[in-house]
Amino acid sequence: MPPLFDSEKCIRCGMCVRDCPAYILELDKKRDRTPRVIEEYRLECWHCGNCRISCPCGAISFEFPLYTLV
Amino acid sequence: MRVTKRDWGSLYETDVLILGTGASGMGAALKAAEKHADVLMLGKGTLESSGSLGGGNDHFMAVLDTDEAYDNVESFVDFYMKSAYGYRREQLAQWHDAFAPCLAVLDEVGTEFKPGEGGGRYRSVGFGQPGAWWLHIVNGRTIKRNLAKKIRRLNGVSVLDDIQITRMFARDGKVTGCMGFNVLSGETVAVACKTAVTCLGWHAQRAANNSTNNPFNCWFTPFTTGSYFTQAYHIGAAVINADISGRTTMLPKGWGAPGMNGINNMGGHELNALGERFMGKYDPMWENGKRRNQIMGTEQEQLEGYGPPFYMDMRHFSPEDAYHLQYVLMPADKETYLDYCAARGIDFRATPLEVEIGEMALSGMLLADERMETTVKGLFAGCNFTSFSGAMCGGYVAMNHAADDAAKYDMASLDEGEIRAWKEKDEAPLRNGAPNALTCTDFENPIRQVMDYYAGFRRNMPGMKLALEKLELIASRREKVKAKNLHELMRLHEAFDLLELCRMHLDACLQRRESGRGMYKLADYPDLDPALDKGLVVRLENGSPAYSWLEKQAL
Ligand SMILES: Cc1cc2nc3c(=O)[nH]c(=O)nc-3n(C[C@H](O)[C@H](O)[C@H](O)COP(=O)(O)OP(=O)(O)OC[C@H]3O[C@@H](n4cnc5c(N)ncnc54)[C@H](O)[C@@H]3O)c2cc1C
Ligand code: SF4
Ligand code: SF4
Repeated sequence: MPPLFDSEKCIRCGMCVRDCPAYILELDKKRDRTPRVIEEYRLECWHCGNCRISCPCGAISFEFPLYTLV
Repeated sequence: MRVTKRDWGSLYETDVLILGTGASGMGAALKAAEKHADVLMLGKGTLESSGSLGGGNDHFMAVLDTDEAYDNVESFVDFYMKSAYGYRREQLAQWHDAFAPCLAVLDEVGTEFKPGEGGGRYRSVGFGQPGAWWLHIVNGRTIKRNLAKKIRRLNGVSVLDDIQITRMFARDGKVTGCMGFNVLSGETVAVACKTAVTCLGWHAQRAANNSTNNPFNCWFTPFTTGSYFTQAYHIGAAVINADISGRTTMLPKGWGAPGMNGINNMGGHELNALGERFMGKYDPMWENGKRRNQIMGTEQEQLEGYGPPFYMDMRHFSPEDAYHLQYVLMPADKETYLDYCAARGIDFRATPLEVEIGEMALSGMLLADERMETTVKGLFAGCNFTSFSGAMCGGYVAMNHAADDAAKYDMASLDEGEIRAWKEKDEAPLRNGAPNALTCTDFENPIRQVMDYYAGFRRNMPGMKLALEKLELIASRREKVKAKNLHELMRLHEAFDLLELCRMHLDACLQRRESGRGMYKLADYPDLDPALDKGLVVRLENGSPAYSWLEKQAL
């Protein structure tokens, strides 16, 4: 999967959203502004890790999608 | 830099314009500040993360002029004059001269290089080169951010993030500016300039798929789709070798990550399904020879049924080397490397890494004189040199001349009527409510469908001609596209440039009747033709491509 966000660690700074070169992240108003991947564009994730590099709180992890594991 | 609001958006005026904010754009910005030039750099994404350098790089190529064998400008220039087309000796010498200042900046912003045993920087050999020109970076994930911090503070350098550039402008054979739109706000921006450095990226992705069929799961950045070539071509720049410059690499199975440079140059062995090492049949330097030979060799083994699977075997490495490769270099090359390894249970010390042949990234060069000026006056080529070093140094070298020449010209004035008309056209997909309108994926996927089917590693002339007709069909649907938001409008404009580059590539391939110089083989022209040891130049003349050959000796 593209990035997963730990809402406990996240301080809602929006840096991951800002620096995603794919423009596929947004702050989710329904989940207290925790970032999320825009579902419709999730396959555009390059797995570049820029969101995680930008995150000041270590709130981002990755679970690689099935199509990359076979 | 000056900005004024207009009824159609914002008009910027800058002495020197930098298009693209990747490694090359950054090299250009650094040189601009040294020369006290007034510059505006703009591109998609943010300066901190855009382009192929965004998620990290782990090697930087540099000749350091020591007493070591081949560590000098002559060897460097000779290597590239022999192995590539379209370079001039003076250009390569300037690339060489940029190593020291670019390395000084990398040091200044905190880039750490693996130390050599006797002091200095550790270096290794790669890509069939004669000398140990590759420095190993140990904290490569953050290079782009560290450089961005410096660049944002440079006097005279302004940065405009989040801009999809849709076209460049020229008048009387001289560059005048560019236009595009902000992908977050939708605002139209146009930039008028005296001179420009184009840094829109040497490789174009999304022209082909790897085994995963996800075009965004690719080795170079998927957000660079050919604008370096197509947008410059439209205003009169000549492009070289759009046919044979396409390239690929071996990927970790199922994942678009590079990193083969580290694996090959540290001595990884490629194995076929039977566990046999085979690259000696295809390159005297085995895996660490030319990347084209590794791909063509693997492709041949695959055709003969000796794979898949293929593997890169590092089990013979010392534990320290295997550790350095997997845990220091690879995550600096792509930030998520260790997550991939964890998900697949990969340990270089214990198990070979399954690999596959990657998708073809299209490429080429802009024809440039010894000062990196293209065939469009005032437009300088920032992405003509290869790799991270070539991008950063290439931008740096091009800016040296672009900044000087800005003194020769007045500020260009752009035709605002033309800007309004283009804006209308560029935004039309946002207004298209037709029930049979095509989405960005409806439009873009067929491009790869054509390229994968007719323009793979094995192909033929009639197949490529048919492919071109099919790309024409796709082009004929350009007015039928729709975008539900700015994100999709950006993807559509990326696809427009991609489509043009694919057409340019195939049309150029039809001119070269031989095999073995690029990464593909033609069944109808299976042999290398020594008479074609030259560059193929294409230039737009009266709306059609005009071809000529560039003799190597003429360089
Ligand atoms: C993960 C990874 C690891 C790598 N590791 C190494 C390494 O260790 N050593 C090495 O030498 N090389 C490495 N490379 C290659 C190297 O990073 C690239 O060659 C180099 O960064 C290219 O820089 P560039 O500026 O020429 O192009 P790009 O990085 O493609 O930059 C072009 C910029 O222009 C923007 N752009 C393009 N078109 C448009 C448009 N129409 N409108 C607006 N903006 C646009 C793009 O978004 C991008 O920001 C690696 C590449 C990747 C992807
Ligand atoms: S890995 Fe890269 S492309 Fe994917 S969400 Fe993070 S920043 Fe965006
Ligand atoms: S960068 Fe980290 S802390 Fe900031 S919004 Fe994203 S996940 Fe949350």
